[in-house]
Amino acid sequence: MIRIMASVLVVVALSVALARPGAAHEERQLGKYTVEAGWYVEPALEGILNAVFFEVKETAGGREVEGLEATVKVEVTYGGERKVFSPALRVVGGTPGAYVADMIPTKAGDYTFRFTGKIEDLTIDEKFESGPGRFASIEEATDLQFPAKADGAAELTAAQQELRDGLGRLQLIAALAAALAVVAIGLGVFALRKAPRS
Amino acid sequence: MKRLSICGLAALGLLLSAAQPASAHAVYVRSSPAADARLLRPPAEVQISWSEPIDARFSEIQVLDAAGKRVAVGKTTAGSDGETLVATLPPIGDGGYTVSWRVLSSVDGHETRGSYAFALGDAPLPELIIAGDSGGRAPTALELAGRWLGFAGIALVLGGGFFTLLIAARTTVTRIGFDRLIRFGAIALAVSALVLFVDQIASQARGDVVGTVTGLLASRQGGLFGLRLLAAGLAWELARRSRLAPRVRTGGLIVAGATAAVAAMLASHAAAAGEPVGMLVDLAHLAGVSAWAGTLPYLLVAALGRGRGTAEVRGAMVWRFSLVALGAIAVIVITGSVAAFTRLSLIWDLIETPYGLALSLKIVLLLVALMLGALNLFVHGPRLRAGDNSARGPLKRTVRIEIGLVALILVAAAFLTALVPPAQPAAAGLYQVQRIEGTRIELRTASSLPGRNRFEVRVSEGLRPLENVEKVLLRFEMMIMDMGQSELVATQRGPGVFVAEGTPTSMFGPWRAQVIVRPSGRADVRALFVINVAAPEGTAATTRIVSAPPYNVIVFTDPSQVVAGAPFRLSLVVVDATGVAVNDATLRGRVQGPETLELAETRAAAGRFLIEVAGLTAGRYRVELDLDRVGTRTGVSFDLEVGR
Repeated sequence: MIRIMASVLVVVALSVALARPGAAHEERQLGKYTVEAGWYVEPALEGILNAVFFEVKETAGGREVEGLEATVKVEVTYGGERKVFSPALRVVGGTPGAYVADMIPTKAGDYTFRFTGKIEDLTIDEKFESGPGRFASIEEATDLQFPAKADGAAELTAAQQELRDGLGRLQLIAALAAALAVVAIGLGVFALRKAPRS
Repeated sequence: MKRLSICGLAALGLLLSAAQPASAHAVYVRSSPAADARLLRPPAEVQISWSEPIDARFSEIQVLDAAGKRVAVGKTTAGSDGETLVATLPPIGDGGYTVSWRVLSSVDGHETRGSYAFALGDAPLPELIIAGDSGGRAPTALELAGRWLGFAGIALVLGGGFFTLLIAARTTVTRIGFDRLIRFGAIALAVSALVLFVDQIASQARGDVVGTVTGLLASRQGGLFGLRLLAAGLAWELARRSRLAPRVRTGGLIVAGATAAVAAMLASHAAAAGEPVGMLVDLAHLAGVSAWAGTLPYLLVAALGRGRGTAEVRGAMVWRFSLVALGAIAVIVITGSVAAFTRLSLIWDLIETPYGLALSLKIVLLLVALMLGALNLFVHGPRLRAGDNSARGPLKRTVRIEIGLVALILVAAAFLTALVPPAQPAAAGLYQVQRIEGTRIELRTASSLPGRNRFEVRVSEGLRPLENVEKVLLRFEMMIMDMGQSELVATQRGPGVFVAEGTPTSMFGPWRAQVIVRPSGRADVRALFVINVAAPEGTAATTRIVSAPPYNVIVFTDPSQVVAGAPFRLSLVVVDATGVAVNDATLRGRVQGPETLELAETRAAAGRFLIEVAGLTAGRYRVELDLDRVGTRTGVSFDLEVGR
């Protein structure tokens, strides 16, 4: 148990130390500012410690905007669910204008970050949704799992799903037919044994 | 009698040889204006093509404006291919329009309906109440009654033949009851033919009843109507001539019953889909039902009714019936399972679709009837064979209950043959179904070619379309090479129906399409599909492969038909000799024709080159491009037609 905890801590420490903003972020112009949002750790995998990344710079001149950890809040939602998670934003050490809110995304799929509050004099209420051309969706971690895949984490390809469904149909219908055939044969054998000898 | 048999066999032979393969129901394939098209100029006509020949006399196209007011379309005429209808349009103004259609398949006699929308100018597309194909009208009580009578008639007539051939061959049968049953069968067949014909008239006649009747009589439906009446007449004649030699009578009954069975099979889903194996399976299924259910009334009359015969003789007849019934049940189960496998998409269809519910009911009733049959086989039958005449009473009761259950099974069968099975092939492109966490997701594409495509997603839970859906997204990824990921957002076009159009599948090969359904307040439902974008056999008008050694270039325009003055986009995927899309190259060149236009240098993004053109005058152009890659230059050229 201690070994496992130590491993987790090492992973966490490495993740935080080595992580830097990835390429799959979304950039947006809000007034005179350029805002970038996305996942802090990439590739962004389910069940792995990550963080909401938020960076603000003045578009003209590139000045990093500081102090937003006190004036901007973030809300995270998953897919269409109404449940909201509100981690606190904190400054990324050594990177002015960059903020993160720690969280572990426990499900693969699309997340929405909603930033509200004030960037200096500008009031904001902006939603960033993961997807192609925006910031990365959370991926399943099966490709990196070794030696065994975690239960329930395997993503089936479309072909595998179709095969599974078809196989399911075939198995159920074949089982039904086989059961009835066995019953019919049994009845036939029994009846033959009871047949009149004339 | 010989003459009657020969006529029956001849009719059967003619009908089998004349049976033409066709698709299941007349399904929308394409139209002009295209579904969800946005036009710059008003169209002069509406042209729609379906998946099989349609009877233009009983089909129509209507056009409604955004306010729901009908636009006065001209006369609807049939295209030369028999699968197209054309309706001329008066001049129309900017706005959204709904095209709704109703067609009668000239092959299987089923009616299908549907609608789609287009917009002229900047107006929004109207929302559709029925998006796409509706799958046909709901079966009427008259149609169901007609089908039920038809199945009952086939069972009685064919069952009579099987009974004398297999069960009562060496036994004296109570003639009066026997002849009466055959007469009932003949009447059922005749009434069924008339009821089904009247139902067709009622659904197709729009004031002109005489025209509808003559039209239907001249169509394939008229042929089937005649065949049913022929079978009924043959059976009636056989019932009347009770002194015929038993062998002749038996043969005649089998021919009459088989004729009626073939008529029913030729109007089935398998026949409409052109599946010879499916048709044989249907025929075998009908034969099995007739051998079991059809012989039950004769057993009741002949073996258990009043008349001569000792308990041992009756018991022996019951015993032979049991053997025949066992074989018939095996045939019913095997053929029914094969049919179910081909007509269901998912096992959940058994409880989540009307067709599946009817099939489930049929299975449950069959199981109950089998249990009663087992009671007769193990308890009452042996007692009767042993000479215990008191077993007659209980045996008669259970056989009557079995007959009642069979009558209910035939009601379920009537529904099954009237409803559309869940597994229906797409008229073009792809049709797949997935069920994820209780949500059924169907994906249909208009085409399997690279280029502009229409993706229709239908979402349901149980028997109802899924409501309160915030968003439906489609994400595409090429599976055998990295072309990035692209996304389309579908718009709702009807209850549980979402449509997206775009050009994400720009390359031949397998594409992974992830459909993400976002119900309000719930977790996303995600389904994965594989779309095989196939190489065309024969040249597709909208997509072509241009050879530019050592490369092949897949080219299409978006929109697929370029019209004068309208902006369009050229999409090019350059594939090297190993079949991999090229990303490290630039393309530049010009378009030469009625006017000359320089095309800006373009770099590949996600394996595809996109060249935007603001618009060209009408005419034929030559596109000349230079592909620069790794210090070498390759020329790519092809023709481009810009319509008026």
